[in-house]
Amino acid sequence: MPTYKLYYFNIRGRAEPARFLFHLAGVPYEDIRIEHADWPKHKEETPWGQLPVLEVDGKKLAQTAAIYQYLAKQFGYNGKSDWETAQVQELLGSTEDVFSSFGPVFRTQDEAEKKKLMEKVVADTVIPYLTRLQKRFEANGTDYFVGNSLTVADLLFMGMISNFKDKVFPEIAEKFPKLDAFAARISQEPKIKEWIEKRPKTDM
Amino acid sequence: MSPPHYKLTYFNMMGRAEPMRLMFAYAGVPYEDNRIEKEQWPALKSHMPNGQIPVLEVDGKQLSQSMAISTFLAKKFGLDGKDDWESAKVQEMLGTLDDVKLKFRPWMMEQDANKKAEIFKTVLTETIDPYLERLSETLKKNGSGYFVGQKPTQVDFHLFHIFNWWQQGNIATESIKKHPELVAFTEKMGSNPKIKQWLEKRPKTAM
Repeated sequence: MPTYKLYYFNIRGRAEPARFLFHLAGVPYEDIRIEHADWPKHKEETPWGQLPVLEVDGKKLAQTAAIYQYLAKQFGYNGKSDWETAQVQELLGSTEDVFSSFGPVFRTQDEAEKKKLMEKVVADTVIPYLTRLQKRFEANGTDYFVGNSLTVADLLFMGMISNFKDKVFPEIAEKFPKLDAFAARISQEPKIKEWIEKRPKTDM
Repeated sequence: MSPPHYKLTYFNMMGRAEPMRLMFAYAGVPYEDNRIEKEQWPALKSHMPNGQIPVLEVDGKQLSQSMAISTFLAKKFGLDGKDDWESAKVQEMLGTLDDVKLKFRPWMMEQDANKKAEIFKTVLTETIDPYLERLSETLKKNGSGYFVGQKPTQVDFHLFHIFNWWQQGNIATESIKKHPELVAFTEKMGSNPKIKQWLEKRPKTAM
């Protein structure tokens, strides 16, 4: 078995779907969490000055999507056909636009301004996105976003919906009940529940 | 069993669809190159799965997101690396290219010519030059004339498109010239007969 190391900050953030994949597969890995204060000295060790980074037998891989897809492929959570794999990638890609729209919100220091910007992002980006996403989930007609089995896309969405509920948009449960139910159901799957219970508790 | 029917829908420009068009040409695979004018877009938008283009239709099933489309085709055409690790490195390079493209956006969106020129200076020093340096190192280190592995992968088509577009538009010319291996790469890709044929016959658009 290869030796795996996953480097990220000490938050769930972009690493969490990867951490779930390791746990689901029962594959050991070093869950390296870098404190923000220590980041500058580690930055140059990464392929592109960013985290997360996956190390497999000493070889490094950057870029969140590349990491998710590589691990999902190794462990069997990347869809059951080329078309399903393409759908997984399509869904992963669709989240990038949404996540990047929060950039200006995080960069704003003024609390009042931040709140206003956040409301705008929710109205202009998050709600339309979740509307399409829920339709898509329903159209697939299973407990999962792609085909009839768990993929890394489900793991990503479960985390996203839960984070939105806590931090951005608590009304998500009533406005998007199918998505809320999806996230609740996935988080009850035994190995997923297990990781949720034992993982370090962090704010994000 | 008949080959799949492919239809690629995008604006009448190169943009995010061109790497895929280049791959279709290279692989010699026919497809419907469905170009829509900007005026037609609002009416079409609601018919697209995510309200976005490009969209690839394969025997009637739709796929959006340029990286998903590109990777799906690359796999079909043998342009996705020789194993899972090479495929992952390909994804990594596509991801970093996307990050770089995001940094272009303020420059592309700016209408005022003076402001545009100012923004470009920053994009050049902060983003383009360091990125070209990294690409040049990667190419040299890989040693095959391609960016990942020993044979062409989709990354080569994405990067060729950017360099070819910059050449056409006289963008960052001095920066590219500093890297002879990138110039040589662009020439080598461009002189492939199938790619050359496509470059000659494709609709001529600014970007």
